[in-house]
Amino acid sequence: MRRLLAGRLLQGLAVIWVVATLTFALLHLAPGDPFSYQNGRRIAPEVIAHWRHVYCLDRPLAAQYVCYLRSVASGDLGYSISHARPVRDILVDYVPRTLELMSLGLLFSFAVGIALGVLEARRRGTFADWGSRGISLFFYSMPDFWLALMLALIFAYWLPIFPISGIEDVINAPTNSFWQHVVDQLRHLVLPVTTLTLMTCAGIARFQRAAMLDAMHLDFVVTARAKGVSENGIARHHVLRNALLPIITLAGLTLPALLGGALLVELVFSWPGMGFITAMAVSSRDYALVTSSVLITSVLVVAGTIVADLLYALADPRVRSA
Amino acid sequence: MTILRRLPAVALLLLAACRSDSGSVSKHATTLVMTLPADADNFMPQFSNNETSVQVASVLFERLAEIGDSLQYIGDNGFRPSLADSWTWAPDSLSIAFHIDPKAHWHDGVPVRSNDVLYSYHVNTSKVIGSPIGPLLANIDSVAARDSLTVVFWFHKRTLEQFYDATQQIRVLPAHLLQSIPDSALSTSAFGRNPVGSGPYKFVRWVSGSTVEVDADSTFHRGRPKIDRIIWSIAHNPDAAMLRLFSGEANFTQVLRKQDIQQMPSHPELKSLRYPSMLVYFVRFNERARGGKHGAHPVFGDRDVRRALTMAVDRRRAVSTVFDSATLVAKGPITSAISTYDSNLPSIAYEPDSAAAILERRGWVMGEDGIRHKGATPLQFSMIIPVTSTQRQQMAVLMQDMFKKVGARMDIETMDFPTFGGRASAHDFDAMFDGMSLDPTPSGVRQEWTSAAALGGGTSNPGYYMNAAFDKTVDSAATTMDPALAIAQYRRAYAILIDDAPGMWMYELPSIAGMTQNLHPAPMRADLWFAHLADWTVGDGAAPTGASATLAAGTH
Repeated sequence: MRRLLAGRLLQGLAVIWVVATLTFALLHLAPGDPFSYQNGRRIAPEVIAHWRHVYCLDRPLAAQYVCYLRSVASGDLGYSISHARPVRDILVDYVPRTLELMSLGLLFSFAVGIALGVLEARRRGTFADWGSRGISLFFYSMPDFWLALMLALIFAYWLPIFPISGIEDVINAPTNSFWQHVVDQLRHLVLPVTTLTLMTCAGIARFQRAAMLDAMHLDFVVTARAKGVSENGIARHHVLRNALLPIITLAGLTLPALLGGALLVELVFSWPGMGFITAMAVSSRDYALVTSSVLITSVLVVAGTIVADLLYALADPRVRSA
Repeated sequence: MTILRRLPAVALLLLAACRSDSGSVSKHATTLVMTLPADADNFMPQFSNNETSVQVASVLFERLAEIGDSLQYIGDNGFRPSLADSWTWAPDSLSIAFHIDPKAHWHDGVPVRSNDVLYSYHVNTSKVIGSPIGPLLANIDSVAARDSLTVVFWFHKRTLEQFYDATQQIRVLPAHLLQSIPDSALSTSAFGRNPVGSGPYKFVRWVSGSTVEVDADSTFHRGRPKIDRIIWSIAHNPDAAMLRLFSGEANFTQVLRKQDIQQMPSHPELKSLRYPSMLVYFVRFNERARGGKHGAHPVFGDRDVRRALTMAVDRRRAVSTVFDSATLVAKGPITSAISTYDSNLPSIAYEPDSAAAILERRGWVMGEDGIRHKGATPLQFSMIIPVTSTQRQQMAVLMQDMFKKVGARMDIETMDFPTFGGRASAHDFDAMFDGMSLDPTPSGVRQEWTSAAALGGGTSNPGYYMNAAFDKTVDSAATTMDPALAIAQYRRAYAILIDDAPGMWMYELPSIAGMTQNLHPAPMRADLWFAHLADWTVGDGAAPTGASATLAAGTH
């Protein structure tokens, strides 16, 4: 188990280093820099030269890269030019909001996906099976930003049940009590989380359905049935528990897709998380913020994958012994 | 099990039942919620060029005096008191003494004093800080305090713009809160996120990426602002911002796009308002070989060819097609809001036949492929355009067709803003669809179009337009003390520039704001539409639909 963990950690570190280096290189090789466009205003060349010097942008690329690696290794993520703040402070504000969205999205996606998969497998060939698969496939095949826009249009504009965007009711937030604040936050989470759930749960449901159908024909299920165990009991205690194993792997694989989806959903619903700041930072060539956002994202994905691997090993002794 | 099955539906109903407009009662009688698609960055005016930050800073920090709505920049004509309640010119006009309003105070209660002005001047000119405002204060020799309420600005030379320079470039900061912070640490100081000003509104909170909120200062030295609270509600894209206005979550948005204006009739609770603009858009020609190399550009190095290509474009039609018939075609490198503007400035008319004849005369012969050639060189060029500007791209497509009719081929290259800026400063373009945000003084034309600007590097005059007669005219306009002569010379300089066609002047950006019917803005100035935010009111009008708009109508 320790060897497995050590191996995964080494692999993860290598992945993170490659991602960070590629991001750094691609950003710096792209034309322009943070000071090449000033919102239609003209800034004196000597001021721009001063800023380039302050931010080391007048040094050779290799020197900038060494400087970047050194500062990251020491925990200093640099200074965001577009936000005029240290990157660390920005991430403290924005990362928790993305994690909140992602974790709720992950939770609901798996809850709904597994439930649908079980339903489809147990009612195989019936109208419920076909209907459920058809509807989930419908959402699965939709572009995520379009699905988000449609939900906003229907549930925030035509039927104004939920807020159209943002994280709080800007008018009443300062005077809200604790519980009003909680309810307000939940109301703002409904549409983004529903979007993430709808676009992810279909894949999970199909995976779960297939795993359930495979497990239904295994010997121990036939034995249980022969011993007179009820169909509900078989499904719950024998089939579902075994069919959940591949889902752990799927959880690890779903993380990057969910994170990517969360970034788009954030843009549509003006949810101020990593997606928002990363998109803004790319368009303003905010080198420190882009590289740090990508770095944090890759750390999250790698960590999620390692946790999934470990959980799988814990759940299945065959993997541990291998 | 039944309860569990019904739980999601019950939760959804509960959440829906807890709509915000049934929530708490706000202590604010009137609230203005403005939505815009950009977060703030730093509220210290010296460190930010960001639209949201500039708007917020304008209600937090004051200037010594404010330019009048006519944007007259000459002397102190039309300027009105702000932080200074009066001023006195020295007999030789080389210094101006400003008397600070003794009632002015910072929002923490400390009175505003001369030392604050001295410190603010220092912040703008410190080499360590590197404020973009610094070079604009080059004519100010020094600033000194005569007493705790009188501050004197000394100038190197007399110019018509010296009062403007002393008052409009500097917003006054609280020295007692900032002076102990080293210059090198000022940009990262907590003050930039939690500012204390002396303006009509005091800072309340900033939730990153979501909200900036300010409250009216009841003790403001020039009288309490009319609206109790202003909230900048940050949307992450223009569509999200518009949805907030249409759904009633916001009262105001500063820019309506064409597609938004088309939707306005279905929202009787909203109205639109056109206001003057300082944004001028034009196609800039690169007169040198690409990359800033020596030698003329094969197409745009020839003045006659530039003029001919300008004649080939029906600018009125292009502008009307993309915007509307009320949008102004730009006359030159200025907008109609600038005080030196002249509606009788000459312009190069749309004459495609004459354009073809000029090209023929300059040796560009029509080929079988429909493109003119001069020897082996085809009459072909590319135009770079920022990818986010749909209007510029649409207009470029129309131009492409118009150029084709006279035998010129134009390719369109779209790119993001940093690449666009990078290509401009590297002079790596044939033509660029540029835009410029002007300030009220006409000397901006000097910073943008003179030979000195071209040779100075950076993004000024990247097309290498150089004309000694133009330089001389602009220089004498900027240095004369005779207002009538200055205006005449600026207009002459504009005429030279237009005649030389270093660019094709396209349009003044139409600024159309959208707002709820019950919102009554004070005059929206061309350079800062939000300059009079403290005088905006919320009154009777068609009832808006959303929570925030209801608040604004005063029912909470």
